[in-house]
Amino acid sequence: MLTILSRSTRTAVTEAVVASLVIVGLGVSACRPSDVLSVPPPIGVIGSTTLQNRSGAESELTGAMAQLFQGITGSYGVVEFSGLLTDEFGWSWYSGFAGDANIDARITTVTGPATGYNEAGDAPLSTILTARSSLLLAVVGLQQYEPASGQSKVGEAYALVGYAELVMAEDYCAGVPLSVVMPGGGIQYGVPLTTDSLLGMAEAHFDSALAHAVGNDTVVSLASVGLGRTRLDRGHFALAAAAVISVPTGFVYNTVGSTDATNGIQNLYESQMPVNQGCGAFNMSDREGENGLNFVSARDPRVVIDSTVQQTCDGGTWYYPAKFGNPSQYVSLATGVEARLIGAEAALQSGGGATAVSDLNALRATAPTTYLQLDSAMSAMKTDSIGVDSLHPTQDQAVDILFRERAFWLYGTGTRQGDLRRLIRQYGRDQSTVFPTGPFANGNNPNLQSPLPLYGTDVSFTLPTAASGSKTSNPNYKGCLASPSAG
Amino acid sequence: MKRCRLAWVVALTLWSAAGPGRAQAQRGESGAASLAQRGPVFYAVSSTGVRMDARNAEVLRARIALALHSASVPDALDTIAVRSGLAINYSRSLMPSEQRVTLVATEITVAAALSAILMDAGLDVQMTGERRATLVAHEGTAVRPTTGIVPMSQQGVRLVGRVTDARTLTGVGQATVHIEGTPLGAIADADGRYAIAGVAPGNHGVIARRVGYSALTQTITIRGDSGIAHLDFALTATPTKLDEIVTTAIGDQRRYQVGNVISTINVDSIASTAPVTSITDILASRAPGLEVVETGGLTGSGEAIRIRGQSSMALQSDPIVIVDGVRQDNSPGGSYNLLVGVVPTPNRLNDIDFSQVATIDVLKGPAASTEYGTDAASGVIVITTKRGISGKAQWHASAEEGLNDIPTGFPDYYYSWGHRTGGSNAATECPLVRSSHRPQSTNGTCVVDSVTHYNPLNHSATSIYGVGTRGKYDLDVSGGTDRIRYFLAGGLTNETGALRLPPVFVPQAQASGFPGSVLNPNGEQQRSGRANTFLRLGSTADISLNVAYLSTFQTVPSLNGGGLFAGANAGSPPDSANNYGWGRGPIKPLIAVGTLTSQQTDRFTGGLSWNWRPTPWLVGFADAGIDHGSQRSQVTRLPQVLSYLGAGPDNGQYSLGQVGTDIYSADLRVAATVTLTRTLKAVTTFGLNLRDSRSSGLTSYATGLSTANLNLAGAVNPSVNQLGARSATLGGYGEEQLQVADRLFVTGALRVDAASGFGYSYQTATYPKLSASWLAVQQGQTTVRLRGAFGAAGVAPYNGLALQLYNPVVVAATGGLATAVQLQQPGNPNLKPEYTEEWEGGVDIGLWGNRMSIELSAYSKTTQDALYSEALGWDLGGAPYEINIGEIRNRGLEGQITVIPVQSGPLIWTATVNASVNSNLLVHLAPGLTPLNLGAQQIAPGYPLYGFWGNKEHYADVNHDGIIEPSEVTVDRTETYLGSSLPTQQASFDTRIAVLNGTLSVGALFTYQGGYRVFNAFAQSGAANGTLPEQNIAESPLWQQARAVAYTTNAYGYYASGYFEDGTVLRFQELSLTYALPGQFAHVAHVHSLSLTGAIRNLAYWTRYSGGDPSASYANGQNYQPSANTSTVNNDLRTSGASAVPLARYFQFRLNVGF
Repeated sequence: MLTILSRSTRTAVTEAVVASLVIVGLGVSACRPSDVLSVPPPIGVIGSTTLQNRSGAESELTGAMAQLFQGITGSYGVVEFSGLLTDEFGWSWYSGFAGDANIDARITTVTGPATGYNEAGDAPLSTILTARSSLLLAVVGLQQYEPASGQSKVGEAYALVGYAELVMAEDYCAGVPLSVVMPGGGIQYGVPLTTDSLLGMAEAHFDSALAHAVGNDTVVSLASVGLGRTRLDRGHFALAAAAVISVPTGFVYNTVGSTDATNGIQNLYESQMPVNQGCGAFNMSDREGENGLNFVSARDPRVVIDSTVQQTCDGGTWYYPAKFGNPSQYVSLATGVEARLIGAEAALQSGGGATAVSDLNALRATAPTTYLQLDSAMSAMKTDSIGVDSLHPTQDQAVDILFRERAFWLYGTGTRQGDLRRLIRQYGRDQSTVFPTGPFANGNNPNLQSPLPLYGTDVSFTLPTAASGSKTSNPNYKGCLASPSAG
Repeated sequence: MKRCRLAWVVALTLWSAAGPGRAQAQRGESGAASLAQRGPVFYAVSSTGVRMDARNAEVLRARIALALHSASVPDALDTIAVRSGLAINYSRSLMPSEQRVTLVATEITVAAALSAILMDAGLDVQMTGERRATLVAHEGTAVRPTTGIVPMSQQGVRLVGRVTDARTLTGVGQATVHIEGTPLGAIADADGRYAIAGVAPGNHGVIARRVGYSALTQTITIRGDSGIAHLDFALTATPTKLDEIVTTAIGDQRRYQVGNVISTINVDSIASTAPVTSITDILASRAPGLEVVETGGLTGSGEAIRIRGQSSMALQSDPIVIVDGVRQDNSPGGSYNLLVGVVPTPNRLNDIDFSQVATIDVLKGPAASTEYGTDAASGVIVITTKRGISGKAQWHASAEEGLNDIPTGFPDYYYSWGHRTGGSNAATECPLVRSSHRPQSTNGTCVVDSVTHYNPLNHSATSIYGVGTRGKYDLDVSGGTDRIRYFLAGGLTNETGALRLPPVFVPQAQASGFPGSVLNPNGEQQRSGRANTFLRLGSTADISLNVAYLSTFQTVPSLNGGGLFAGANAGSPPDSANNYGWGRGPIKPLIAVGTLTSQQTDRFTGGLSWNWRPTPWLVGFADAGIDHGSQRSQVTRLPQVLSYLGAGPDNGQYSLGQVGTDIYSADLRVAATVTLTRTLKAVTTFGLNLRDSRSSGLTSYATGLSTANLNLAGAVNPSVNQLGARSATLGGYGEEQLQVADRLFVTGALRVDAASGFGYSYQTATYPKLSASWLAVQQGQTTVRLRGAFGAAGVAPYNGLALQLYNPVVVAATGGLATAVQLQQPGNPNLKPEYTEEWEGGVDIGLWGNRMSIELSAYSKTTQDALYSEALGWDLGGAPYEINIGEIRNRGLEGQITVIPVQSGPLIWTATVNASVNSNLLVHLAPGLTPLNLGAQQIAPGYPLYGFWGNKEHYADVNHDGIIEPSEVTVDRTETYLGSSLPTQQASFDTRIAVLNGTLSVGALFTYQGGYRVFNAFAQSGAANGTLPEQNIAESPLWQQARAVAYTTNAYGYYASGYFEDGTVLRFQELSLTYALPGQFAHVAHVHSLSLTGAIRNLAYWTRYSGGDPSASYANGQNYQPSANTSTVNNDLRTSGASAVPLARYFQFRLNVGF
């Protein structure tokens, strides 16, 4: 093309090109785009790269732990909701909280377009799953930046991941997907897991915890109790006992709580306080739904009732569980007491009902007085207190005794629902013989969206549905793989 | 970064060193001639010896005709003397006797003629009598020896003249006159006069252009012995716009060279006569395909702008704004909108004083905006402000006074009164259907005796709408020489909205100690100052500096005042609770006015532009600018409100946000034009573009105010948060245009961008462009242009969206509280910009001697990788997660017909019809992704974005009693798509009739919007209260009864389809009457021009929508807060009409004076 141009034109073209390139080139040559485009994250948040050091990783762990404790033992956590579903707590505040009423009535799936209420169990599930993902993110940083002396934090994080999976397996129907956020960005959707697969995941994480917890007795015990509880849920009783055998009876791992919701965790204490609602919203149950235990009337020192007389929101007597009596009295996630109970159950499973009862009495005699505000060791079980011959029980009676002891020792710690489901799954009981059943006390309250005259049949929480307003973009999600009524 | 800045400085310095080298030589030449280029001073000497300006002497303003061809200066002076009757005395020794003068003019003032002839003579004109003048040497200047005149061959000739309207003979201000083949040119002053210095002897083609006129090229022969030459232009007004100049990313081009349709709005002419109050008012209905989505009639309410439909779900969909080459902040509400959910988001475009704007070019989509690159996918609005004009100072002043109100006619709320039969015979309310607040009529037990209806908005004593005022005052001046020009302007606007505290509540407010400001809580004050200067650096370079200060202060009560604007929809009869029909419970007007929001926005914008023309074929351009904004937003709930709201723990609330925003932009561009063959020309352009946007500020919140303390100090629990964000885009582009015989133009371009907001796995975005424009017919009275274009552009995600971010928190931990972090968003490393491609084709036709102009276009615009704010759902904690998974398509047709049906004698009638249709479609999201349900609206594949969805009701009056009972209605369980929430059809008819040679003119603008629905939240909320006519009057239409029954008997858990009504509206938007004082009378009044306009905006509207004004919508979605965790825009513009204020009506009187 240039050959057809005159010399002067060619010169002009050359000048133009050279001038253009010089001008544009100078503008960019010393100015790397990365210099201009490298901008800090918005103020008010912290980029993940800032956390790539020891203190950053520990901050991630602390934040994730707070989330997990909120989901398990905080206000509207699974401890509360599982207590409602079982015989631990009753619902007595009816000002619009129909979702809570449904759970108390063992109806976890709300149907119909006009209800507009989410399944109440959705919130803690989301919190626990989020916390689990965050714990795993924290593990990445802890492994990289913690010195050898601090590797037990990795173990603690793994142990808490295990507890997250454990409570989801115990309290929710099969089908929970374990979606996670990837280190540095991106997400990985989980696939729906059966209950046993979920427990398998928990068991693996407790194993990982033990591998990293060497030298830290607290973390070792925390992981051991979790491992034992998981194996118990899977029916591996001997292995469960083996897992907890070294845990001291006096061991306690408390979650943390606060009266201030803005600090991440508001514990059960706050939910129970009438001062917040004007009346008691939740209440201790006593023989709830025919099968419920006499948590109030037993006057058991492990479930102390506060003497303050106030009313529930439906005008009844409000029973105040003293173990949640103040904000500094945190909920126990794992205890040596539970380790002994696991051992007793293993003994029971191996055919030693009497041995089991003997172990339980031994626990009564040796239980630490610092736990549950016990003033002194408890006396051995007596026949008249439980309606059976505790010294020579039948196998079924021994099972009843064992689970009653578990219920009182572990009241309000989130184990009751798993226990009742195990009675169905592992001991052949029917759900109608272990969960509250029959007429539902608050079922005809005029403020309910629809009457609930009878208890339902659910033994676990359903998984969120779009109809309840809880959505997920997880393409693998299928909802419950088994009915919430299945053990 | 510091190194980068240095590099730019070095580059610009070297560039300037390359240019000024040549420019210096020019200055050297011109420096010698600088004294000679002074014009004469016209003065008189008083009896006390004081020199007085004599330019306004009547004899000097008289107009004469001259036809001087190479005349000597004395001869020319003699001719002027004869023609004007002005006796001119002079000494021949002072005359540049060798200089020859050519001056041809049909109507030139004596002063102008003398100025032209004596321009180089170093002489002044001293008026020694009413019709007598003496030429004297300029004071302080050595008398020019005749031999001292720089030879014309070195200095060049000065070309002067006047550009006039061929029909009216009035001057055409702002016309550009350019000597073809040279960089020489000038802009005409307000009277149409121009001057170009340094024209080389020889034959020249000179072209004059002005928006709205046909360009005119004339040939002139400049003789080397003439010091001055004269050439007048008489331009013909024409609707054919092909020859207009349009401004794009690569500079000014003639419209027919560009393969896209670009709408140009001549703001200058609109602003002086039409009833407009803002830039968005000017844009509305004047560019096909551009929709101004109204929010409501509150003063200061902002509108959203959508061009060719909505293209994004999560990123800003307003077009970007360039003012005089500098990128402006027009993010909704400013970079930080702290008024989210409180008031309709202001549009920062309206910070600009439209009185200072010359033109607006609208680039409608990627096909036209490719060179703007990332962020330009939704179009570009290019604003050119008024320029300085050479000549003596031209002043222009305008004053506007007016009133505004809210057109009344709100639907009444109904109450049925009756008595029960059987048992108690007590009077009772007795509606036809059940509602939540009122007893249901039970057949046989409640007999209706009477029906009352009421709405406090329809009564002056109880209405919150009164009469507001508006004043706007502007003053500008321009002048200079052909080397230095300036424009200075200042404006002041003060508007009080029609919103008020109803008179019936005033005693209560006073008794409660409310401040007096609550009586008229809505207003806006704007101040503006703008200056630009132009400096010619020799003949090869020029530089211009533009600065502006814009200040906007807005006050508005909170919309969270308990449904204030929905009226008395709480089911309260007029006299209940002494609330005057304002519903049961708290007194809403008092609560609303007692929760006051204000926002002060101060902006300083500045830009420096440098043009360099080293040769006729090489042009360089550099531009750097800043838009600095500082915004102070404040929301105060007065403690006095508590007596009406009920005391709570938050006694009095106070929140304050102070945020600063800086947008830096820089452009560097070079263009080379090479003539390849006799008919083939190539224009090659390279450019670099940088944008860097930075924001930072503080927000604070406190409760526990007292009447004596309305600020943070002393408040309870004050808290402060720090905010800040930054983003940057760096792009480069190249464009090649081939011009064949000046009739076919083929353009190809490529832009490559990198941006801070891209995901870290995504480095650069590439946007191609290809367009063609062909002047197929250019014969006689007909011109036909065919055009087609393809282009791409993008929108970058906001900075931070791709990052994995954590929130700092304080949590309970063993041993007490501990600092920690919790995941805020997972981050998406694969994030990338939205990528929008557009095909556009069309034809432009000029007919009937260019008295008819037709412009038709079709387009198809597809956005790939549309960002979707996924909100990960419960299994990932609902964390925000942005992914590029959507495809959005907009297809449509646009047309504009401009015609001059009558152009005879003193009568001119012009008319313009605009029309456009757009079809918006969300083609798909990721497979398996659940449609996003926003309540009444959804983001669902296969349907328009944010379309309305509801449950359809089916009914039949089975018992034929004229009353729809609950048993006669069934409701679908699933939701059905009901219609678009944005208008899909728009049209306007703009006409003006001028009589008496243009001195009297009437203008009118009608607009139409259709093809959409409006959610009548007024009615739905009324249904819940049983106060709709269809719930109380048996004769009501069955469909209205059915929707009320469907909604009220299904526990309000869904949206009844009957409340989504057709929003079609025809609006009489503008009416104006202007009288311009004829020229001869203006001279008598010692002014150049004077006009008076009376106008009405929003005169009337016609619609089938039963909820009031269908264009009013509370667009709480148009919010943008690039803070830590909300860095996306909710583009849902028409959520409901529940809180919307009908569009205001304005009555304006405007006086324009030029002097």
